[in-house]
Amino acid sequence: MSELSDVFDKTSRAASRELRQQLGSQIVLSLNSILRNARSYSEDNAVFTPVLDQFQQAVFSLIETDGEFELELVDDGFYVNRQALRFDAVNVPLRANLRTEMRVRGITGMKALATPPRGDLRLLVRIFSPRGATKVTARGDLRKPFVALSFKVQGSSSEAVASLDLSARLVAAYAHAVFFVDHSIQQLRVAGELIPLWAASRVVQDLVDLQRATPQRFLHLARTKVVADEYWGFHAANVAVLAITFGARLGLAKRRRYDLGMAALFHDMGVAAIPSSMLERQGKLDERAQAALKASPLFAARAILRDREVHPAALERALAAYECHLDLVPADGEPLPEIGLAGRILNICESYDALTTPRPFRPARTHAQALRVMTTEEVFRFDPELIDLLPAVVAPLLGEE
Amino acid sequence: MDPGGPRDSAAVRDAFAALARSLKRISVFRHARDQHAAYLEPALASLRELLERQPSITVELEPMGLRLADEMVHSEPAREGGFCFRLHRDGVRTLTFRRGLGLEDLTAFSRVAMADPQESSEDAVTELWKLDLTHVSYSAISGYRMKEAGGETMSKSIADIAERAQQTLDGRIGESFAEPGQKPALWSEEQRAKGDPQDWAPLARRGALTILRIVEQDNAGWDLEALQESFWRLIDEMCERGEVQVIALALDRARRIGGAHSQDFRAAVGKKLAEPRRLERAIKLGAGAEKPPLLASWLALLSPEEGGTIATLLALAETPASRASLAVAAVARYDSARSALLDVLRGGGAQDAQAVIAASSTLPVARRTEVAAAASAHPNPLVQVQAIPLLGGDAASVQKLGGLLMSPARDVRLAAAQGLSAFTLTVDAAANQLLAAIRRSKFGKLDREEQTAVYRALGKLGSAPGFAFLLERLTRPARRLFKRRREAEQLLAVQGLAEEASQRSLRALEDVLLPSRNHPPGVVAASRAAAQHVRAAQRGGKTA
Repeated sequence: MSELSDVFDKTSRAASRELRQQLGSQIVLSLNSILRNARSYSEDNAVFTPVLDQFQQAVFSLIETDGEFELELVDDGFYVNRQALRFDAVNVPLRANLRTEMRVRGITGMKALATPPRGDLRLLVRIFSPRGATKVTARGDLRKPFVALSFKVQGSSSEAVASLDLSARLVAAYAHAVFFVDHSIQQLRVAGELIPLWAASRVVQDLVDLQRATPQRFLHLARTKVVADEYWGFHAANVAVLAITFGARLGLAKRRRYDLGMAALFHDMGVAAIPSSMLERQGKLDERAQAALKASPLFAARAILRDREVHPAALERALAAYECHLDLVPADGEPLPEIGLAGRILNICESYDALTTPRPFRPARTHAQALRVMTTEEVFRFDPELIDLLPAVVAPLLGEE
Repeated sequence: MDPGGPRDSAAVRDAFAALARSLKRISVFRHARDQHAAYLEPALASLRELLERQPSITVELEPMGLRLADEMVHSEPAREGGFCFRLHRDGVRTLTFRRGLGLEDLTAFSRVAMADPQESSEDAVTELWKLDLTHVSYSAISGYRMKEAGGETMSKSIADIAERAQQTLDGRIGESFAEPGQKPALWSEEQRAKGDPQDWAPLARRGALTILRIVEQDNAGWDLEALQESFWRLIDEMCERGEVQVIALALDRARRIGGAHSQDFRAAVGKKLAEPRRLERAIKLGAGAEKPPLLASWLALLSPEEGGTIATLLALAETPASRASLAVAAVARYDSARSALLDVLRGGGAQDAQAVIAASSTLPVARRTEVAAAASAHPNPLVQVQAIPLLGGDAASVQKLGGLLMSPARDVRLAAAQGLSAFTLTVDAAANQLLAAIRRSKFGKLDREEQTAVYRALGKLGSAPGFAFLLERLTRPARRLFKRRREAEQLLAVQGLAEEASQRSLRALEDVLLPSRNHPPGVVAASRAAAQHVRAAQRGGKTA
């Protein structure tokens, strides 16, 4: 499939070609402007603000259209997303100037799979300034590497480029997963328009593929932690990372790992039904808060079932979102809950991520501490067979606390 | 297009035309799933022929066709049923077929390309991704396209999140980081099969029960309508897969849930379940005698207005149990089912009519009478016989039974006589009907048992005209040419008087015993026995 990715959406559809030409020209002109001003001003100067905005907007639009931004310097021409850019006579000297400046620094192109943040753009200014690093790598200045942007550098090996690509794709997929959950929870709260499900589906497909390609790097994404109001998106994405890894370690089929990832993204959507103030409250919860908290797993299932889809994957998602919150040891007189594999895996993964994340009402535990708690004093809360396997699944996270 | 791909566009066009034809056939015969592979064989042969010349062929997908380079190699109208339209709508942009393509891959591809729009499934890109086919691959629109929903802040948010994630990776993974590769699986094949059985039935059962739990706990809110649809779609899917036990359990639970929205939920689901297409399927599914009470649970959710639909589907029932369930459900909705039920009773299948009659015993008298009156017009005597006990004692019923006394069917005549004997409020009218039957010339040709039954019915009524008639027959039998026939009439009258078991009938019987009356010995003996019987009955005891 990978070779086909060079074909799609970069074909001869007139509208796309015109847009690509327009955005590509904007990018080249912005880079020229950066080059010119970087000789006189530091990267923090306000003079760069409009041009960086223009550059960022153009990259963003290209990523939205083509899924990536790639500027290549080939022979005497510039290519944006593999489409040759045309320049009118007025701009030919500008093109030549940029080409020379890039070649001087050994840069043959640049690429991004997610829109570069403002920090990356300031670093780009610095690289083009006289104070810029003498040795430019694929990640820019190694002392202060790019987050989303990358350079194509002369002499860099194909493995390094591939690794860089994977890393950027990982980060992009993870970031979109976090965004999807946060945005969905927000929209559910106000009954607003939701991001379509297929978008989350693509993210999870990429996460599953990336886990297979780079399992350890992938698992380390689960170390990304935030506090307070941003918690739910990162938590869900981390649970997805852990659950997909868990599924892979069990040897589950690709589509089952996908089911786990999707269920993980949705597993806490039910918090949309609980006011934020209540979620962050410290101390004992009142009756109303307890009732809301108790109902939230059902709200998560409702958020999925409202799509009116009843194929197995949709049911897995809805049930896992609900069942992962059920107590394995029910209250007196209640029957033992029936919980599917996805629910049992999510139950473990979400507890693990919650314990290792700082919350307003308690500090984070280390990964080793969390593992110890889960496998000893809290062990009764988890599926006995699966909890025994958790140490093997999270082993790469235990070193270098 | 593939570099160096085939330029023989005629061959490509032929191959994809064959594929389109096969897919079209699949869409027409969607439910003949076991035939789909056979439908695809011509397409497979064409594609294989093409792939013998080239290792692979890639075509671009457009809503109305397939393009190879600048040439359209397949065109079709843009409509939901077309495979190009569906795949393009879901985001697929190119398709590649590789050498080595087999029926298995092509069949799996066709399932995605021609997925039933009515059925629930994931989008085509996800389905193809999951299939991971060896010889058919695809490319899809790139990116996650969250821009529209995310608004202006989206770019910044995602960039910030990516920055955090990148910092995390940078802090842990250096430039020289080397992946160790995938470690061996922690579960064996056997453990996976046990731990993750992937049975659809338990999944569906838990899904249905979760929806009901949401409704019961009043958490459905604005999504009640969506949950109703999810529920009935789940029931549809269960029917498709023949999961009878799960359906029965889910519907039974739906019938019993509480909560503020439970009534609305049941009403909406019931409306869907009442659609003839679904109801027909439920009847077929519930046909096996060993099945749990699927149909009863199903019908219990239907609204009172659905009686007519239920009654008209009686003809589809294949077993007595299904028939009985439908009849009970229709009769319980008598107001809406009335017209259809009366049609069944007058001229429907005999078993259907009998089921309705059996279910009607709990109806109020007036309705029961209406049912019986309609059924008494049914051409099948068994239906008529079963209907007669349901008739009330009104004048119309008397007339109806009087008519049935002339029926060509003996069983009907016997039942009619018996029925008339039970009309305690209209004894004279009932007696007149019996008398009319007795006075008919054909009465004498009936067998002895039937004649006895009619006389006994007459006696049982205890009416004045009936008694007068019996007394006259006993004491002053009609002048007959043959002595034996006169005696037979007297004996019938004895039976009737014995059945009346009143003081006056006893006196009449004792009078026969007097030697002065000079009755035949057989009549005297019968009267003696009858008198003893009446005395015993009056004492509340038994005859000797």
